[in-house]
Amino acid sequence: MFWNIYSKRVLCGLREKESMFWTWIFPLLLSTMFFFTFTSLDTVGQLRAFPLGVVDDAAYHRDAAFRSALESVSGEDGLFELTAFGDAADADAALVKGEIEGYILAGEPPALIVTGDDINQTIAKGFLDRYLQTRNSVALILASNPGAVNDLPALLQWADYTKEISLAQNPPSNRISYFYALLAMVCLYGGFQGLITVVYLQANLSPLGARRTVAPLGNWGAAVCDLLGGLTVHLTGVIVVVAYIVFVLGTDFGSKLWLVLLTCLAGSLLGVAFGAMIAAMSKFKEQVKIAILITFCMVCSFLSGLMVQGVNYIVAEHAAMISWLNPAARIADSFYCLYYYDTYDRYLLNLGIILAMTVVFFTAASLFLRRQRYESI
Amino acid sequence: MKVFKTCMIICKRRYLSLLLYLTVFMTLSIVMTALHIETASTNFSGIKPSFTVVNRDGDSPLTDGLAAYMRKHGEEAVFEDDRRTLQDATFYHATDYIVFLPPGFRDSFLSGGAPELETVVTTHTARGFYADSLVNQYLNLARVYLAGGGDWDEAELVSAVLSDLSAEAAVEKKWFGESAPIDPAYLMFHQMLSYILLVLNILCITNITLSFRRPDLRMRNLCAPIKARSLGGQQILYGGVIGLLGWLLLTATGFVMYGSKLPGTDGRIIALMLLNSLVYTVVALTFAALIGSFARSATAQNAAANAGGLVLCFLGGVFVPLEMLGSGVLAVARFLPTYWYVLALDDISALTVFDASAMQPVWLGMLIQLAFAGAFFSLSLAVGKHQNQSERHFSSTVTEREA
Repeated sequence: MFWNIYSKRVLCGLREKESMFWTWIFPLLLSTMFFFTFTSLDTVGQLRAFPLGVVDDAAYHRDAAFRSALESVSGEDGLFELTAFGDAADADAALVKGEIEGYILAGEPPALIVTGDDINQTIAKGFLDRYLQTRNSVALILASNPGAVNDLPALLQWADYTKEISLAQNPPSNRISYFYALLAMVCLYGGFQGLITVVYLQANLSPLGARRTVAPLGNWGAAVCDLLGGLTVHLTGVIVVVAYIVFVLGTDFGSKLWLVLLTCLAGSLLGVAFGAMIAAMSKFKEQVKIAILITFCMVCSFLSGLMVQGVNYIVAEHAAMISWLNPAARIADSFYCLYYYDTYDRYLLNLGIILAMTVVFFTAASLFLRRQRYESI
Repeated sequence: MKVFKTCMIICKRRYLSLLLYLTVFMTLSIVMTALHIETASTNFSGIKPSFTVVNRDGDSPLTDGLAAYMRKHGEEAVFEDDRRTLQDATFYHATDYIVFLPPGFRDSFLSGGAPELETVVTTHTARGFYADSLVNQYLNLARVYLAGGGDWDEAELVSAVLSDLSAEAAVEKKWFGESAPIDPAYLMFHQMLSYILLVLNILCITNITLSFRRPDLRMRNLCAPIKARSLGGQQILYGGVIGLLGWLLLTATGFVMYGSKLPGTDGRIIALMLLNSLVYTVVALTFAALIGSFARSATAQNAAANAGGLVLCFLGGVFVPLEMLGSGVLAVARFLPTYWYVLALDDISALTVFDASAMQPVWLGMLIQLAFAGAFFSLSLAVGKHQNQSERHFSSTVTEREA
């Protein structure tokens, strides 16, 4: 009996076009779009040499120290790709065309001419500030202690006091959190299977439900077989999406792939339970229930960082309770813990919350479903 | 005009779902616009990287001076000295740069040592580099004073260093246009507009085609005393009116939300942006007509609106700036109308003069969009004609009766 109902439910699930679109095709499409469009997301804002102009006039020629300082930070491994212009008009023309990010006018003090406020212009200004400040300091010291002139080379030797370290086992990534939020959304879309399961069981919602109500199998038996069938269909879709993201798109999920799959299982269970609860607790039409489900999933996904990276962090910082109660945020955070942390305590806490929510949703659904009688359908 | 009126009635009956879509998309685009935008200014303000100083050495004039100098050039993000908190802050860019001042740092530095400060920079960003250069500049100037001789009291040393660090180069921010630059938030809104316009038009048009393509209704209409040209013409008129109404509504929303930031901007730039979005509306309408030729159910309609909208907008550079797309994606993007819409929008916003050579890329972008519209419309007509002549497309009548 179990196999009969279970296998039919799996077949029905695979033939349900709407849920198949949302749980299979839509995530595959969205992950492909993420892959193509976020390729350079992790390299945006990285330090690279940028084109900077300098007006090669008499003032620039006179100031050998400034010329030497500027040339020392330019070139292949430097900050600037330096271009000299005969006069300010030529530099302006290059600035208008976007060929340079700004240009320097030597003088007392040297000036920077730009059209924007971006980080490159800020770095160029930082270089000029540093030159001015160091020159002023050395002048002041020499004025008060002329004997220090002999130590000038040592004074001007730039010391590097800092050393970069990493706080985590894997490097931070802007791209990967979008994939986490996407997987969390797919898990929650398990709600479609939970919803369809209950619709198939309720006599007032589908002719199939009416027939099954009078069939010689108890409500509980049918519900368990159906839910397991729905979960199987959904989990297969989730595994296909994970495999596609990891093996085809080559996104690094860290080394704990089995725990990623365990999280997907827990997340899918949560999704199925939520869908079952939505379907059981209200007497709306099926389309309205689907609309409620999609809206809920979209809001949870938005708050877990699907559309804008870091929204989940902002919510966790300013409204921690919403973050802890958001199933999509918990699922996405579990993936994040597996990738980024070297301990498991927060991962296990997330998993515990996901399973607790699942129990609450299933209990609520069963309370609404039990002892239902229909006077008239 | 019975067909036109019927189309309007169908649309009116589904206004609730359209309104829901419109509200959700508008909210999302407003949130995304708000999160991505930095305000435009005519004065140079520079970038202020966020930084965190984790002081494990205790407060002293030297460490206080460093924090004060960093605050002048950056935004301080304060976090407790907890590994996990700092890990989260780094991953989610809550801070661009973290510097750890180790125990004994002050004593070691003032006695002429070179203590090593550990730093965390978010994926080697330029912002992190800039913040790092500030720390090194502060400490190097202090070292220069100490090495230059003289008996320095710590507070005096810090005061002298901070005084020298207050010297700044002059920066002139030039704008070569005849008027103020366009507000970035309004520009971003126009970029997001392409997604809303596309999805809204697909839903409005497919609502009609779904109804009119029901086999029983089609057969009834084919034998009705109305010419096919009139039937099609009135549906096209409906599409035009709906497209124009949607465009007007969204344009008005843009003015209501960002109107206060527009005075001072050249009116020609705003007019060109509006013209560009109107041209794009025609593309969206014809694309919707093409989708409508294939969609046979509400499921297919929703799937096409979401999938079509996302593919066109992701690959076309609506959600992600064009310069961030790889060369391979850009090669594909050239075959999408959204790419030309975004490109024309970028060209318009960068206009400083309005001569023929400056305007050429703008007109080219709009013409290519119109060419796409022509291609989509011709395809939808061809598909429609094929379906009218194909027996298969009337064969689901029995299913309809059963349902």
